Amino acid sequence: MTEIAILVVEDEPEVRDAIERDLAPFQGYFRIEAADDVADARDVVRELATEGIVVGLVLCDHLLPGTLGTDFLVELHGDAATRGARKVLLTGQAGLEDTIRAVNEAGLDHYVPKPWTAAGLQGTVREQLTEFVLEGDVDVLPYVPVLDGPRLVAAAADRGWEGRRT
Amino acid sequence: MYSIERMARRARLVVTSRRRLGLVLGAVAFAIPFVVDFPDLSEPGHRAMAVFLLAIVFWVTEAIPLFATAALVMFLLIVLISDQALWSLPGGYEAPPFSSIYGALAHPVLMLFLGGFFLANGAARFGLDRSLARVVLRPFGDSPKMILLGVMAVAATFSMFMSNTATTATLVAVILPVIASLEPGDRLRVALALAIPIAANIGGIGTPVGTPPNAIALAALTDAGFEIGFLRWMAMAVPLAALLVIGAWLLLVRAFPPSCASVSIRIDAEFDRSPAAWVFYATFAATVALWLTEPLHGIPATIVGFVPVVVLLGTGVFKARDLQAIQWHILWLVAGGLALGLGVTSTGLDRWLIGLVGWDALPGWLIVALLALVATAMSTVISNSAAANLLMPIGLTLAMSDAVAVDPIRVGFMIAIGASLAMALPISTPPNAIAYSTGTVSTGDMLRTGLVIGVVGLVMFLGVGPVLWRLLGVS
Amino acid sequence: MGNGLSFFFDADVTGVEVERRMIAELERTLASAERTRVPAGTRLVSHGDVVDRIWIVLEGEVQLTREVDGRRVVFHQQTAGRLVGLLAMARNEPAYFDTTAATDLTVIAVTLEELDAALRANPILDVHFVTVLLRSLARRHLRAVELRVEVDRLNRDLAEDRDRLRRALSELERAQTRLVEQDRMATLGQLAAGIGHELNNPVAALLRAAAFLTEDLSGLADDFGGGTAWGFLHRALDRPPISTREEREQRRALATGIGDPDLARRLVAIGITDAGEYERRFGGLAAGELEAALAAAERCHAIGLSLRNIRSAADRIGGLAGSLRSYARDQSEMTLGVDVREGIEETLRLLGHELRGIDVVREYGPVPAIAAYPGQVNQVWTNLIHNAARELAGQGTLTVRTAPVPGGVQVEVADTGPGIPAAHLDDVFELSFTTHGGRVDFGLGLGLRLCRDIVERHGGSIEVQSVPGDTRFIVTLPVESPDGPEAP
Repeated sequence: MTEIAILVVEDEPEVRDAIERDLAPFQGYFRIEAADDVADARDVVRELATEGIVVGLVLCDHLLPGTLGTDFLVELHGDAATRGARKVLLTGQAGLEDTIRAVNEAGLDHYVPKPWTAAGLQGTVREQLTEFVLEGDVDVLPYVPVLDGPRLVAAAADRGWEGRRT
Repeated sequence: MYSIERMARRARLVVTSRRRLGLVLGAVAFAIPFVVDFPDLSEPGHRAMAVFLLAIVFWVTEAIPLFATAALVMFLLIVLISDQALWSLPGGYEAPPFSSIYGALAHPVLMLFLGGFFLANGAARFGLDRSLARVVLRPFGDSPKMILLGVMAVAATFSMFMSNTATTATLVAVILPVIASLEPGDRLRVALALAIPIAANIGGIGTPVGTPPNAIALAALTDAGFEIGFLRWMAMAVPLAALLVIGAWLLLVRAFPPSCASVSIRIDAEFDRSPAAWVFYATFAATVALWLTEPLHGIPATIVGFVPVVVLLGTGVFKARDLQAIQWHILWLVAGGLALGLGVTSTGLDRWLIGLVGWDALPGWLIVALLALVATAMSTVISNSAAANLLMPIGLTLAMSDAVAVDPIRVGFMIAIGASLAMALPISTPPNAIAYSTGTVSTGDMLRTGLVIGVVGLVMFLGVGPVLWRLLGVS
Repeated sequence: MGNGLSFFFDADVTGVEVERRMIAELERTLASAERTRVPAGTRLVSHGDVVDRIWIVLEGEVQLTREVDGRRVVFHQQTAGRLVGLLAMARNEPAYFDTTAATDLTVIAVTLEELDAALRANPILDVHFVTVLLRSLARRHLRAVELRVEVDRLNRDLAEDRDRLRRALSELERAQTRLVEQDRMATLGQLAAGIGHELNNPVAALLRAAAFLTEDLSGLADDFGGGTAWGFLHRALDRPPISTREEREQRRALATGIGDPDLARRLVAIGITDAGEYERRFGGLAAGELEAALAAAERCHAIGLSLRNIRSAADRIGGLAGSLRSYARDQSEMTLGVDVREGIEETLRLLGHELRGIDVVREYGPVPAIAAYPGQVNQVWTNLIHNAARELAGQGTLTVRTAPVPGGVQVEVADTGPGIPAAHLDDVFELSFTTHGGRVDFGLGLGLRLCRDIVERHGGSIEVQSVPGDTRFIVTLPVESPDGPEAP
């Protein structure tokens, strides 16, 4: 069983608070970490790695001080440790070019425009984390209540319970 | 607070420490017979005991995956006690040929099981499970209690031919939206989530292909010279299993009374009408029909079991990837158990172990009851198959020894049943784990219902069983 | 040829006289010369007819015309002469022109045979006839030359007209583009000002509501005895925001203090960063009580946090609305005492979202107030800062300098971006494009030319200097606009 983290990168505290609040249903199942710029996000990724926690989902704003969100996603995509993380741009300001770059070079999985709705954001997070959990070498059953239960249960049965009681 | 983070951290610690402990303990246990000299136990018996102890520790602690332990057991038996042993064995000892140990992997009962896997995997692939569930559930209406009964009937019936896990997964996926639509306080949520694994576990008892412990019992009995046909197994198991499902339903309805007036279950499934699906349906029907009519044509179920394999591969309905998708690791696990039984009996370890206890003081029914109870207790905390693997050789040898007078078939059957009746903890069986994962069932709920059903089931199979079997003429 | 030829070369004898004499001779020679009256509009010869006779026109005029591209064109009337069909007959070809009576005519029709006989019978007629023919030819030739000259002149006129039109058109187009841009900016400006005004009320309501909520909740807290949990509402309201990095450090520190990372996370989230305070507030509580107390504190803290966020968000909207209003002040009014630094500040604020990640350096020298259209001048700053921001793409430095110059102010907007290719440097003010990252972009259409127009209308100047890593737009505006420029 591995711990999985959701990383929120957003520079405006009000917006960050709101995102974290909307992610509350996932609290307890996932470690939720926030960073206010890319440099800090890098630190978070490093710290999580030392604790043996994998980043499952990155929710990233585009216009960030210093480095752009898209560049950070590209960077994560280039690193074997974070390549598998699902990547979502949560922004109102990424232009077409930046978005295309994020899709082509960062393996962007989803784009959530601001302002978002709680249901929309949670739906996206649920879907993306379900994908992550299913792709990874992770015990999926603990996430049934909070993610896409039917898919996880079906996948659990398909996996043949290696190393688990049969 | 239900915190996966916290649980994960703890579980990681627990798992790694348990694994580490298992590896150390296993090594120590393996070494004991080489260091300690047990009186009256032969040299091969000492070696077999080393393997047996290692298997116990590894299967209990899951230091390495279950199927890996099975492979290790086979390997150790070959290099320690077979005719190809690497270290010389005393004269007079009749070493089993090493090919017979490898042969466990192709045991006829495993071929029967393989056939079962083909049918179950095909059913999942063509959506037969969902479309059948839709049809079968319809007459149960929308009253919560009847729906509950319907779900249990479907689960029990399916798991007779499909794995308990696959059955549970299919039906839990169906009822998750129902659970979500119910009021948070509605106890029907708990009842539904519990009903599926309970019914699936009980249903698995129903046929030889229902669950691996059945195959272990059947194979061990076959090796010992006792044949139980497919139909006879069902005659012994199905009536009581059906009664037990109904009993479990009454218990659930009583313990978790629904507060809603009606429930609707929506299953989006249509019968697949492609040519491949039709080939599969026909194969499925023919195989089951041949199994059920064994007394008429006399073709053993183990040979009939290969029919779907041949037909589905031959017609191209199953391709290489479907063959790869077969749950081979379960067959390996069972084979490991069979090999272990072979090693234990051929070295005389079983007789030596039995000799440690004065069995003749005990009545035969008590011995059967004790073995079944031990099987249930062990299976509650370790894998059902592993428990059956460990208990089967000892139990059958005991039954066949002069010391006691019990029917070996009943012993083998009851060990398998006992293993299947273990459903008190989330870790007892994968179906329980799936039900627990819905987040609606507490460990306490599962423990209480699981214990009651386990005990009632044991009493029924031990007490009512023999009477019923005599009436049916299958004793 | 005798004396007869003297007619031919006698310049004193007019064409009319020759014709008259020839007709008289012809009438005399021909026995049956019958005079015929022909009403106006009668077609004597059609194009393509075989001409077998000539008409001697004694009175009236004929027209020689042809159908050209569906229109009837008159080629000869005065120059037609009195002998119709003579040339065609001389060429021995079908008639080239349509010959029509322009007025009522009196003619004598002479067939080829009659003419032949007459010429043979009267030698003097022969000379007359040739003379008339030659004169007729010469007249027609002259007419052709005149036509040619006229066509040339017309062509020249036409080309001149075309060039003039083309110039006018492109000027019109440019004017229109400019007008559209100005109009768009003006519309946008009005829109922005309108939005700025419209936002006043909701923002005020929002701010007031947040204040009332804070007040009422605090009151409620006091009414209910002000349990410890309510304190966290104020804590959230008053707590200065900290960076995520600091928060993690606090969490780590507290976790080592109380030995429970999950609890530490929750405590730091509600502002408890010190193990001692945790002990004071929650120490000695049983697990269930702790959870309840913590949950209550978290709820109150969340309320406080939301209030604070509403307040700061409303503040920001209010600030932006204010900027919009002053930025988009009435464009048509020349204002005295404009401080360019104020306009630049408003612009920087409105474009704040584009400037994230960019170091903005302000080097404001003391500048005199100028007379200007503030709305228009702000468009210039917007354009220059927007371009610089796009050029910088989230990193680098934007420097805005103001300095006094004799009789005016100078504003310099400099960026450290890749710069404008030298090839484009001369064009930036001409074409309506912006360059950034070396690409040509028509983007928002805030053309640099618009800047130049505005600056020039204010009597100022704008220039650009660019090398990679240092691009400067330098705007000079006079303290007093020279001619009180007309409103856009």
